[in-house]
Amino acid sequence: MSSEPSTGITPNDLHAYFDDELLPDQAATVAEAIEADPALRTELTQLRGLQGVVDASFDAVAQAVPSARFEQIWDEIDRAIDRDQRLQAEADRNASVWTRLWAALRPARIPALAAAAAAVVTVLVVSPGSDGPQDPANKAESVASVKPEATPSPSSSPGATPAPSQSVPDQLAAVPTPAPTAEPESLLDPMPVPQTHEAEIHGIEFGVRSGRISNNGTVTVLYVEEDDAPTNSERSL
Amino acid sequence: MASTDADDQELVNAAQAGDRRAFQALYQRYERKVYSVAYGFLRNQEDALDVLQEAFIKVHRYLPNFEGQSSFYTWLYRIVANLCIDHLRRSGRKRDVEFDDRLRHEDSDAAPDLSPVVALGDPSAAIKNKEILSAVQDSLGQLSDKHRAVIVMRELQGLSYADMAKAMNCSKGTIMSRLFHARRNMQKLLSERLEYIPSTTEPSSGDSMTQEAAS
Repeated sequence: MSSEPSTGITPNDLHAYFDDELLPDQAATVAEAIEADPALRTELTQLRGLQGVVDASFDAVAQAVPSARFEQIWDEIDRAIDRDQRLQAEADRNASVWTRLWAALRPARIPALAAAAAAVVTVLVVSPGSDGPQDPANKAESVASVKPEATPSPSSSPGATPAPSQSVPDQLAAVPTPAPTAEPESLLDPMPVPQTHEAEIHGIEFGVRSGRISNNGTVTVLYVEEDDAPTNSERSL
Repeated sequence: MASTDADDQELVNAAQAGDRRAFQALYQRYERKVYSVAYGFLRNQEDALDVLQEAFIKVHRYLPNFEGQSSFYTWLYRIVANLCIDHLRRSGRKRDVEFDDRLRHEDSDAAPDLSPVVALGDPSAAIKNKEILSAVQDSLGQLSDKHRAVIVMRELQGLSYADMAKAMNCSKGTIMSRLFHARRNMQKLLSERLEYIPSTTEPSSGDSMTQEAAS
């Protein structure tokens, strides 16, 4: 069909009819047009012929592969499934009680952490004065004075004490960096020190897409996956 | 092997429950179909078999997440199509399909002489002729990757326009247009090839010839 025939049926209409993609009333209209127009009938026959040979050719290509080859492929699949299941079972077996508990509590982790963080912030804000709400006029001074009171510094030595009339920003600027030895331990080491155990990595291979890492008796199973998202892109074709 | 979605779902349910034999039955049901699709995309037997293997490993891994919202085969096919596209990209066989398509669309409104294709008669009988099989496969090989993909998806797998659009991440309109041009190109290429085959109606040999041509 080289151009739109007098029946008003477009090539796309005919292809959609052939592919059973039209609504019933549209399909009826096209069927009537085909009945009336020999050119459309020929086009339809050609579409059937093409579909037939393409389908038959792929069938022939697939039949040409010996069954043994497909069985061989199944054996590979079977082994890969076994390997997946072994790795999973090993990961489940080696998980410590704490790891399991941690995993079980997963849904509650974020709310619990948020509540803990809120509690810490509340304590930090309220506890320095320990005297409850204060006069806002005195608040800045009391906050500025927390550190010098708790940490002896060169500025606290005789003769270095700031004048009582000094403003709050001036006081803050005047506080020198305290000597490390004079700091309380909690301020010196605010973060937990990472443990220095070496992780052991066992046979991670991209080819088999799995592997494991063990550290301190726990084993983490890795499944290496490629990102499928880009393959959905039409451009990738 | 004839199969229905209901049969598939039963096997899928059993496989999800850990029945390896059920999963093997699914594999056996679709091994050749999946191979055909992969071969349609990749045009290489070993690459197609690799994709078959990779696809079923992936299917088994994600089977617990399969909820049956689409048919098992549609799901399987999307996995296969994605793997094939990935394979084409990795192997550097990706062609400048935009250019390729444009080139062949230029005169696609002119209807080719398709009488040799129509004269083939019964396709499954005709395809036993080694030269005809070779002509069909060579013509498919000359299509752009996009055109071959829509031909494979529609003619071989019978996917709906909507499923094809999903698999190729484009609109139904694009699929319709692409399928029209792909068929037109395929008809043209095939007609040109068949013109030089003395007889397109007499199967000249048996399965051994198809095997030779396919390898």
